[in-house]
Amino acid sequence: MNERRLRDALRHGAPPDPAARDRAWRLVRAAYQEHEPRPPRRPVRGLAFAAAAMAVVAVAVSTTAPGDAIARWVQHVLGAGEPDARPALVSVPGGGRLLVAARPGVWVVAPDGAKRLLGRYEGAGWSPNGLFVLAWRGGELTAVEPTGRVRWSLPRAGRIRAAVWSPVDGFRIAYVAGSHLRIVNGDGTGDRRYGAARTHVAPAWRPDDAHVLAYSDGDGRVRVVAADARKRLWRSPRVDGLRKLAWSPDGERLLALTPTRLIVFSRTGEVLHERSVAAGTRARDAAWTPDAARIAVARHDPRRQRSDIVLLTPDAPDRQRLLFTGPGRFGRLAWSPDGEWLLVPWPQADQWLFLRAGEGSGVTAVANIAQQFDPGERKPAFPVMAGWCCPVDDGP
Amino acid sequence: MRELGTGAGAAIGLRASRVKRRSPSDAALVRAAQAGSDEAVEALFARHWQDAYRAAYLIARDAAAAEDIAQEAFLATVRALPRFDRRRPLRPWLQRIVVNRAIDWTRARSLRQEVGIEQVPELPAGERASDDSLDDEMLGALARLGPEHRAVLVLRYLLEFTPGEIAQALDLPRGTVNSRLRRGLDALGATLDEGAS
Repeated sequence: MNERRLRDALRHGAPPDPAARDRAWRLVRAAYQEHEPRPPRRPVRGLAFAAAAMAVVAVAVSTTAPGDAIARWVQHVLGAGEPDARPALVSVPGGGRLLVAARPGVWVVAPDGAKRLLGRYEGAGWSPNGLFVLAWRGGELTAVEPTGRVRWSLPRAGRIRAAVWSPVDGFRIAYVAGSHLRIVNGDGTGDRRYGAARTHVAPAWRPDDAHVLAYSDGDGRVRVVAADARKRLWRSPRVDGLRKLAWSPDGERLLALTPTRLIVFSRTGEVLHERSVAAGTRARDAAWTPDAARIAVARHDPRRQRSDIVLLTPDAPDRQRLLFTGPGRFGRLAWSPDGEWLLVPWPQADQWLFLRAGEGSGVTAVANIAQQFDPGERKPAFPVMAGWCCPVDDGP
Repeated sequence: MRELGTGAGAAIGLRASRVKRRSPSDAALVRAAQAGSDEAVEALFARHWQDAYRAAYLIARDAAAAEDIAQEAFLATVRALPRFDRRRPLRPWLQRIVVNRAIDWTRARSLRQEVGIEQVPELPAGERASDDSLDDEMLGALARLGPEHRAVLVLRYLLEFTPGEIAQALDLPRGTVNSRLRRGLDALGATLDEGAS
């Protein structure tokens, strides 16, 4: 065996990849600059306390009689908002904890309405049992306890658009960074690139412990894979305008939502149902009911500038139930952990609507949402609902 | 290299053309990096990236994995910088991370029995750095070895570690390293002989 020949072969055996080198260097530099000696940061607890104090002041101002009157006048003029809305979120109907992504960062809302600012993150999601929060900002993915303590963080080259924790065991996290789907273990180790992905569609884990993942691949198809085995289970034809993927809670069906269509796939990839959204309207979000029987859909009619929330039964096209209608657009829908309440963000009215979907329908509205999550701003931004998790008893 | 203690990039000597001098040692760069010098970190990265990536690639046989592994090793280095003992050489420490992660990754892949649909395909011949057919045969033979044998050969003949250093890096007895080197070389030789006959 010629050792010199082996040395030569090894030296020339790996193709140079300047792009990989550049990507790595950007990350390394960012990580170094992050860790450079610098004045100690103010503790998160201090920030959270300060933010909470500001929120209390802001809510107090907004709930004074003049503030309340102005809010009612604005709602009256715009024709938006439930008239009997609560002025502040003093409890979460249905219990559980909310995760809210707002301009100052991500907030955790306790069942009694108390809020804690976790940090300056752009987006977030719950771990399966609500013990951790997955939060991201720019190219950094972070696992943080609901108390604000950071457990690990992972800098990545591409901007992170979405990240989801695998259900049941929480052993895997899928996230989209740049234009790639990546998977990392729940403890932050073993981060690896999986494949090209559409940036605006969050991947969706099937709700069991098999680590089966649905995502929108680089070609715009729905791809379902066994993530640990890196094995493709099935792939759909191209789905134009795909906006959301959502497994039914029993894991038997996968919903693919586009602005104009709802497609329901079986577990093995057959199209079970496909229906158009009502003529002239565009679907903005959809969420399975907790019993997996129906789908709540937020639709917007651009011509009339109104939106509605309907409950559709996938296999019975003529069965639909109107839950709510109002001017403007609605935000991302979220079901309460007990499946009784549907949270509908309503930016134009600056309200959150809690729609009771079970027996005894009704609406509980909470006003002044923007100010509560973006306190101290003259023009507070309306926040994004990031998750609703876990029985009340599991709270920290 | 006393000026490295200032931590200033210009003082590191990376761009100093006034006096032709030796490149600063890893230890000096680590000290400068600990003092906050971006240039020192860049110099360390430039010095060690190619070897790290190449070693990871030769063991894992997957370009995307090699990028991730090498990247992670550098990130681990940066995170460890503030408490890094400057008396310890950086290179073996860094390459130890690379090689062990590459072995772990390769073992995990074989356990998963990947079907290969998502794998990065082998590079076409035109993209190889060398078109020497014997090099290709050598690399093909290397790819047929187990990751542990590949790692030992890569450490010895690419990174020029001594058997003692390999034993330390892989946490193996010296005798095991020697026997893996011997068996690896024998297997390569046998494969190449078969190809030639």
